[in-house]
Amino acid sequence: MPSDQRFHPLTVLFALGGELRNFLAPIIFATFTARQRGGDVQNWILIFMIPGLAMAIARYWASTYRYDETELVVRTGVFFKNERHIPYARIQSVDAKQNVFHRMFNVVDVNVQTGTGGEAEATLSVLPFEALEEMRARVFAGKRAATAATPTVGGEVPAPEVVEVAPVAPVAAETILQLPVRETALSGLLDNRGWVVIGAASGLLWEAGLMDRFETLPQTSWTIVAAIAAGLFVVSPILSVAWAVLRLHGFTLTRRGAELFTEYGGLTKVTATIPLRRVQAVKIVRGPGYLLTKRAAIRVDTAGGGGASPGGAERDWIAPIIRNDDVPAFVRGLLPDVDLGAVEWAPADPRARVRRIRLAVYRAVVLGGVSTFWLDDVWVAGMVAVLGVWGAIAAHQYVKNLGWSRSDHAVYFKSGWLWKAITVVPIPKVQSVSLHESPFDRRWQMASVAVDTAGAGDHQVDVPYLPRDVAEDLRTALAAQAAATTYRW
Amino acid sequence: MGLVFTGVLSVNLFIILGILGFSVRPGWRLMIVVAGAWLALTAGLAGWLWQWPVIAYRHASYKLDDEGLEIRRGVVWRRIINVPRSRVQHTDVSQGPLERSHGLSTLVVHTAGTEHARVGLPGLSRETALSLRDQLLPHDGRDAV
Repeated sequence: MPSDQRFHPLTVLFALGGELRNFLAPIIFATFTARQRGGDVQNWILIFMIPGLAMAIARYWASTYRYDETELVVRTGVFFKNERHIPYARIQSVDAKQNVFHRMFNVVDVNVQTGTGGEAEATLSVLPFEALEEMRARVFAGKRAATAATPTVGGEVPAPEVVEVAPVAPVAAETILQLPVRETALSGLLDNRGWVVIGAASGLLWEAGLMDRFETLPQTSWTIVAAIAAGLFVVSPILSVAWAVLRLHGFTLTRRGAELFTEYGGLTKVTATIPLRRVQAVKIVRGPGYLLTKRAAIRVDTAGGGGASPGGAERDWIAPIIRNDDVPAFVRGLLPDVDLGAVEWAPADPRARVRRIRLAVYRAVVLGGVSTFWLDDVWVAGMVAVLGVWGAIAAHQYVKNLGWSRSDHAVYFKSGWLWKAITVVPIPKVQSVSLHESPFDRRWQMASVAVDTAGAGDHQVDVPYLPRDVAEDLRTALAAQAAATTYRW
Repeated sequence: MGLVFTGVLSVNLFIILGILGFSVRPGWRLMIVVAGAWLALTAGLAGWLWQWPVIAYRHASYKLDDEGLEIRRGVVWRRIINVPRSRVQHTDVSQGPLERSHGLSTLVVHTAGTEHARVGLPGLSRETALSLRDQLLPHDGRDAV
């Protein structure tokens, strides 16, 4: 049995130091105020430090680590004991931090990172410098041993071979998407973000008192309506088009081997690198304008973690605007096994309409009931009617546009009516599968199925209103598929 | 825990009702009705909180097979979650003071996900938690990064 190792005894001192830093501001403050009152601050500081010191010593005694055959085991916690097992094969990096004090005593803070993103999985503070070397040697020996045991499972993951080994010879770059000014202008028009600018500008004007001048103008309700309409339909589109043309100027998406590069920008040039293996999900989004002009916008969720970009998930627009006809080929370029044109969408439970319509009607009635305190009965009746009818239309359209599908390589989810979105998650990127049943779901024998990935962003795969048995089948099937593939960073 | 909570809640309610009683000075009949309601509420709450863990326990289960870990939880809002073996990044076996006094442990499975990056399985005996953890280890090294 490998033996447990303690941290460096100076751990106590560094823990105290860390605590002291937290207290620095209050201490300084106290010293100043005490000098005026002539109090004895140092004693108080010492008294405050005693529990900290006791805790630091207890923590030092409770914290150990050891190297097992296939994993690193770290134990921590005085009252809440925790034993963490980190397989060598999962460890992405063993980072060390040394500040002046660390260097003085020849010790290091060691951060062990796996792919989970966010914080380090284990922070060993502080270890003797030699321990870091030993850890690196052992972890990477363990990693190699695990890799050597790999019975190559081929074909499932569109992952590049080994990346770290050698700088890959430059591969010919292939341009996937290039946006002419016409398209960037159109995207500006469709997004119509100009009202944000107008809002901000008028807010500023208001603050500066410039609005007062307008008060001399005739203030009938029609002039106000006209002003708002002009802002919304004339000024705002012009601003958004100008902004989009400038921002997306010369947008190109190129592919070089297993990496995507985006490059755009008239004023500030933006370049971004997206390794394809980091892509956790592909999302195709269409707002009302996009639906009318048969365009779409495409986004990818990527996962950080380990090495280059630690600290979690990002979202990247890889196609701010693209013709509907080009979408399937574009997506196939990213995920070779995904054919959007051939997806057979399965619907939600048709009874979901009834559920949503009921909900809308209840909401309308409650709102109407509350507003009787302020409004005439006629107005209330009208409002309830409008809300109810609108709710019914929205419910019908929402349920009609829900859809999901599952193939050997990916899981698909679409939803939305005025704003449509399609999410594609390759099976190897599925981290866990869950089925949720609310009390209302149970009354209707329904459930929802969600898929968790390493990429965060809106419109995750979370299929609501499935018949209970369909949901159960989907959950088990997805779990089995995910289990049969491996996940790679 | 449940009983303590009930006690605190009932005492508070009693005080509030007492203050109300002094200021409003209701008739005897109303007072008896209110007192009866208070007793019933307290008893009901105590019974509910006493039974709740039993009900919750009955609805919690787990299964470990070749594919991975499956956890079922929830009485009102129910949830089933599957974590495939190959997606387990690392595992924690943790023990709070209360758990330690009863020889219990919580197994926490970490994945690279976001929503379910930590999947907890509380209320295991220490041995079960440790053996589950050992069974979840990557044996074949298949998932080398």
